[in-house]
Amino acid sequence: LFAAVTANREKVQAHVMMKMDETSGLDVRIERPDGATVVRLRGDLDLASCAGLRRTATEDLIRGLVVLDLTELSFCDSSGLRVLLDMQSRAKSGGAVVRLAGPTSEVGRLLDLSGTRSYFDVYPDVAAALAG
Amino acid sequence: VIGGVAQDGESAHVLIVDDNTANRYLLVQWLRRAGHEVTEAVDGADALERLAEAAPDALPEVALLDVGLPDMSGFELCRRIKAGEHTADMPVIHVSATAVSVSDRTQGLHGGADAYLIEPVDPGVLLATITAVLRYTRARRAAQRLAGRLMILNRVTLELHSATGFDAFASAAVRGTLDVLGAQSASVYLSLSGNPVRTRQLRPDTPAVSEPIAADLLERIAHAVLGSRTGARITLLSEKDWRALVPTSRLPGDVLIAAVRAHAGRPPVCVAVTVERPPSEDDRTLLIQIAQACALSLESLRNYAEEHALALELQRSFLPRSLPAVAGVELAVRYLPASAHAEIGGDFYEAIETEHGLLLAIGDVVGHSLEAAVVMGEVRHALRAYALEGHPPEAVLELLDTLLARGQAELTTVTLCLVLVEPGRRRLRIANAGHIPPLLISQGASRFVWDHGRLLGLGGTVFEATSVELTAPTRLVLCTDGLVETRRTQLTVSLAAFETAVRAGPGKLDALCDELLEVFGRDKDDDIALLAADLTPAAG
Repeated sequence: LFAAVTANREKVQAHVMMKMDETSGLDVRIERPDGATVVRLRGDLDLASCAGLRRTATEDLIRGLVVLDLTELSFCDSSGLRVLLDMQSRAKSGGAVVRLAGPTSEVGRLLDLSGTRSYFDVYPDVAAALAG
Repeated sequence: VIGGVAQDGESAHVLIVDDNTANRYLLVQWLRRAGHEVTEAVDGADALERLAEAAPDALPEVALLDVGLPDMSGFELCRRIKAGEHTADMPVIHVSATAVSVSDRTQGLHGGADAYLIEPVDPGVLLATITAVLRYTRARRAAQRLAGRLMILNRVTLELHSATGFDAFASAAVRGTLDVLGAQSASVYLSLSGNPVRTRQLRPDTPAVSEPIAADLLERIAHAVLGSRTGARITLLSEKDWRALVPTSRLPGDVLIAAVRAHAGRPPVCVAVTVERPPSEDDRTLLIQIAQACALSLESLRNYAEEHALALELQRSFLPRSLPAVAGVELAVRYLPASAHAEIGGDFYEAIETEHGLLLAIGDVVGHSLEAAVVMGEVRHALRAYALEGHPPEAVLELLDTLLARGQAELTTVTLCLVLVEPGRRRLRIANAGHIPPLLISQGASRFVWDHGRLLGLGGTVFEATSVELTAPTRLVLCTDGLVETRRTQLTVSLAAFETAVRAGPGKLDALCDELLEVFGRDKDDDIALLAADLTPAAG
């Protein structure tokens, strides 16, 4: 019984969703399906909001497979890109894997213009990014 | 209102509703003798009318109702009082003139009455009942009022912290004091950049006004409250004593003053408010909290202002003081800091004469404030050094990429576009590290040069330069994203608008730069750098 309770609690914790920076226009939610980490970014990732994501992107977060879900990220500026690059850079040196899922055309344009698309592993959606 | 809630044991204002003149007279006499104020009504309608007429702060605190009124029962009157917006929490005591059944009494109590007395009423019991009913009503009201004021205090504290300029801060401080304490007039005394200022609001419906004050006045007020201590204290001064301390004050009446000095040697903050009644303990606590919130956010406002000024100075000092004069090349540059209260960015431009030609550069250090300005300075110095060593543009980018990737605790990214104008101005060598593409116009045709490599900072990037042959006079325009990036507008769309504006723009370079800043640079929350060049190829 104890084992069952513990397992259940872990399951609940794994699905805990975080919501933050409501005022800053960026909503960050973290889910952990099947051991991977999915970070869903929704809204604007810019100078004003990137500090929140930077605080969230701790060493603990960037472990194993981390999928950054950009499907609902409507705007990203160079400050936001810097945080994404920083996460990717730390993943590379720490043995973790960061994948971008479903960037919108505007975010895709930023990746192209900055020449950083090839620095990331970009997938069309979260399912594809999780499957690899 | 300061001191607005009556304290336990204080006399009360009682509404007595009884159609029997003799009974009413008796009750009124007992209550007046005990020091209470009384409003009389002869029936239910009369009572409701008197309650409706009374100002919200002059309402009776408790109602004493005869159950057998001629126009409506005391129970019905009680129900209506409890349904009134301003009288909902007024305690009601029923008085029954006749012997009543238990069911009548329970009906009264179920209907919202707070006590039920049966005649003949003993004066001692009546007064004790009023005291008991008032005790919990007053405690509840005080708690409700404090909760409401704490919510306002919370809002005011947030407003103080989010104020980015002195004017916004000072009026938030004064207005906040009036709101939290429900006072009529207040003054805030503080010092910004060594200049003591008083901001006052004499009525809630007038705007706050700031004015400089005598240098020693702020210290004098703080000394009257705090002595030479640090920390926060509060004191109540009579009108006479306050006038003696601050002859120029226009606050009427007695004044409650909170003073805060965070550190020895730091200028204090004093908040003064007019009190019409003796202030309660809550009033004092709240005023101290406001003064502390002011002192705290003023400290961060000062730091912000100092850092802002420093970063702006750094930024300016890093930009070239003069541009090289090169035959066949005309240059115009602009730098526009981000709009008033935003942070400093790391945009820069550069023009360096090298043995291989004139190197033009435009760049953007990602991140804002002091950190970006410092990195920008480093990048510009390194750029100059590498360029003067004679490296071609693509090699300069690779060297800078390596430099940035090395020894930085946190990733630092820079976008940078280099354009080498070769001697004779017949060829450009363009190397772009993730920057907004350079725009070229020649003989009425315009185009962006889209070839580019990765932005700088990740290390290990290999760059290539693109050659552009110039056969006719050519205008080159380089800018940072602050100029062309508009949220909710696709970058390709804003770049197209920019291209059109440059093509249709004035012939004179300086006029073109001014117009571009005018059209694209308004109300941007990012800084802007712009470099334009007219290049005339040498004959042959």
